[in-house]
Amino acid sequence: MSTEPSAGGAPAATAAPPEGAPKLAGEALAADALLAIPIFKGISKSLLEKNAGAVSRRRFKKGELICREGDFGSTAFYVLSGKVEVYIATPMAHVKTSGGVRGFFQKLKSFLVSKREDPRDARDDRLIPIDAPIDLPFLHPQAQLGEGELFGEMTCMSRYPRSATVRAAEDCEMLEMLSNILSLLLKNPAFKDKADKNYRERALEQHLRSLPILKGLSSEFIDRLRSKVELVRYDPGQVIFRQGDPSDAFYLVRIGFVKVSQQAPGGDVVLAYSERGSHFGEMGILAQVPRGATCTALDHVELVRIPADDFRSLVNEYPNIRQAMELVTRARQAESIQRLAITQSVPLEAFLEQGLMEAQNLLLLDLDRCTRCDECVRACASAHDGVTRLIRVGLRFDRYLVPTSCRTCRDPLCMIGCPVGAIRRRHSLEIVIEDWCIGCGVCAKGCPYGNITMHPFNVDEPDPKNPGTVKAVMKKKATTCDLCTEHAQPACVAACPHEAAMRVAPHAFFSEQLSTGQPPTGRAAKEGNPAPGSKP
Amino acid sequence: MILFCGLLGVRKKVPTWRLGNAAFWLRAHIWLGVLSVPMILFHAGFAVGGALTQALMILLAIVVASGIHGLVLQQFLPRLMTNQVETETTYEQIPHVLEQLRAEAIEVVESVCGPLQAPPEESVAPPDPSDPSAPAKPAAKSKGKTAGPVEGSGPLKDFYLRTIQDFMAADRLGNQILATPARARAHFAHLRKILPPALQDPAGRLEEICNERLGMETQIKLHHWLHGWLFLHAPLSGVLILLTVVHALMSFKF
Repeated sequence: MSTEPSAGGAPAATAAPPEGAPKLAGEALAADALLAIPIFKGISKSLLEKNAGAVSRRRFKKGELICREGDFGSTAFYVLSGKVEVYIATPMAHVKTSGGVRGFFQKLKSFLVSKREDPRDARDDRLIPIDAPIDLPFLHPQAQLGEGELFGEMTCMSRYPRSATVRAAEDCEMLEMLSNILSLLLKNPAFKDKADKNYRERALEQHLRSLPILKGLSSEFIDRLRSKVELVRYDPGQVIFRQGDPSDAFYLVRIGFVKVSQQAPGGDVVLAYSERGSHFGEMGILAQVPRGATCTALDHVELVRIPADDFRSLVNEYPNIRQAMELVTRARQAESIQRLAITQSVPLEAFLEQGLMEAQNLLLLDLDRCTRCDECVRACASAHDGVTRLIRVGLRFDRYLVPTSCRTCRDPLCMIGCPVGAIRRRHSLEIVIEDWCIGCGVCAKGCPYGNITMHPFNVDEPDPKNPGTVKAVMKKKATTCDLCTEHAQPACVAACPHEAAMRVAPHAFFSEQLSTGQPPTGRAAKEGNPAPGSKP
Repeated sequence: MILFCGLLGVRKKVPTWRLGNAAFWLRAHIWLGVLSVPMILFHAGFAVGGALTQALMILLAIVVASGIHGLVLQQFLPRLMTNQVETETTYEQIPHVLEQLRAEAIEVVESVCGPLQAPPEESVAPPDPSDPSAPAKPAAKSKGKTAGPVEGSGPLKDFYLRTIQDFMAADRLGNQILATPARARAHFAHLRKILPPALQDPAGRLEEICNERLGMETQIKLHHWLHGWLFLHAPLSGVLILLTVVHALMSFKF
């Protein structure tokens, strides 16, 4: 075993990776070399020896690519020395179908448009969550990480795609590690204390201010909170708290996804998924009642825990924050009550089996009217640059076909796992893919009904081999049915000459059928049971 | 009026233009098309006129009749297709689905009857037994789950080779033994009686596959009925519009 001095202050030693483990690039480090690095102090040498080869030292020259957004990987990086630049290279744009007066006489097309050209309701000061201790500002998604910082944790622990591109800003040295070593590190008090300290000093303020309702917090109050917040970790499936538990803390999600569910007859109902940057646990504290829902870690989750007393002093000191919190709370309560009521009122087995209970705005084809002419599919393709978002294939429910088209599910599984939090839902219920989608395809894989497609685009990107020049590269953006919200009717519905295609609120639409035994006609359904989010 | 009726075809080519929804256009097409008959009769003074106007009248009659025929078919054939074809697929996908069904039928039969065809003779030289690096001879290829035939599977294999194989491969089912659901049901009922219990499930799956094949045939037929009339209606409408323009020009000239 050879040793040599290193920039990280540790003697280098090589170690062979264990059989079957992915082989890391760079110089594999043995247990002795690792123990010489401060963050590994306290970890048992035998444990490190058992995991030999699972960590390597990498050296990158200035400008060299370390990882690319959207790529799949299994490692995390710890910066030993130097600085790295973290950024999102995919254009800040979303896929849009042209509308307006100009579109009257021309074929509608979908294309990439930036926020400047087509402003959305996302604020300019919004932060993009990435797999690193910091978030990226929306208007300039770029930041630097330095010595002692860790990135790629979600990729390493939960196999999420890389959320951003990382390039060496100067010559740098780092440790690349597999999940077994990262797990050891995360449990090691020496590393945990350092990570907590880094977070408190560097990211807590940004994290708190990234929440719209906490935007007005003063720096003094954040300073007070610094010593009180706690970073807590949960493994996949671990319950954070149960319905009925005392409301003892407020949580901010720093890493991972949390499922919020409530007990209902026939099983738990999923109320929401909280991703990085969101919060939960305030309802019970504000109302001074026990927890109203169960929160479970879906993957490796790291939360910022603010004890209930500190949270109460926060909301008492800032009445506007209390007001905003109470508004959020009321909205969430109303949503929960509505969801539970729906769950209890439709007992139809097939309805549940087909996931129709989950749908809020469903495209149906009345097969007794449909002549199978495919005008709906052609219209969808025409409206979306030749790529249809509707396929006239699917399960049947009664005399209706449920084709492949976004259902705006109550439990939007597509939203789980987006490494940059680019998929969300508007109040009008349509799924919105944000401008910073990096095209990794996790949402498309997550949709149980295959209703999200990956749309390829050619974009120009700086060519690192020839500075000052650009090269064309193929990028992808996720697209899904946008409900043609800019038009009075979705293209598929408007193009059906037989009035067989309709967008309905399935619960109301089929409840009528259940109660009367008579399916409502397409026209009546469209007029009587408009789907949520559809225009009057 | 006739020109407006003809615009329905153009309207369908640009489904995203906001010129009223397609249902409105179809209703206008139907009502104006029907209304054009008495209007033209009045216009002609209930006389057939010369060769061109006679041709126009005949064309109009065929176009209107084919349109009404199509309209009537569209009132009940979609429901019939919904009721009779449980495993409906996109029309263009039918050949692909049939290919999958054929492959599945072979797999089901081979899983209990052994390979349907003897494996071809190996043309390569046998491995040298003294050479330890020589690969072992692979087992006979079979898509099925079992290597050999299950006891009592002879009738199933015979039935497949004599009846189902041709049925699955045929382009038209007219003279096939399993061409109607009643006959297919009867043949499979008889087959089940002579098969041991272990082969009831494969026989049931084969029957399902044959029923799906029958369903596809029904879908093809109904699809042709639903859309076939357009092959007469659409081109003759084009000719009618063209001759109407000629008729108008001639009437201006003379």
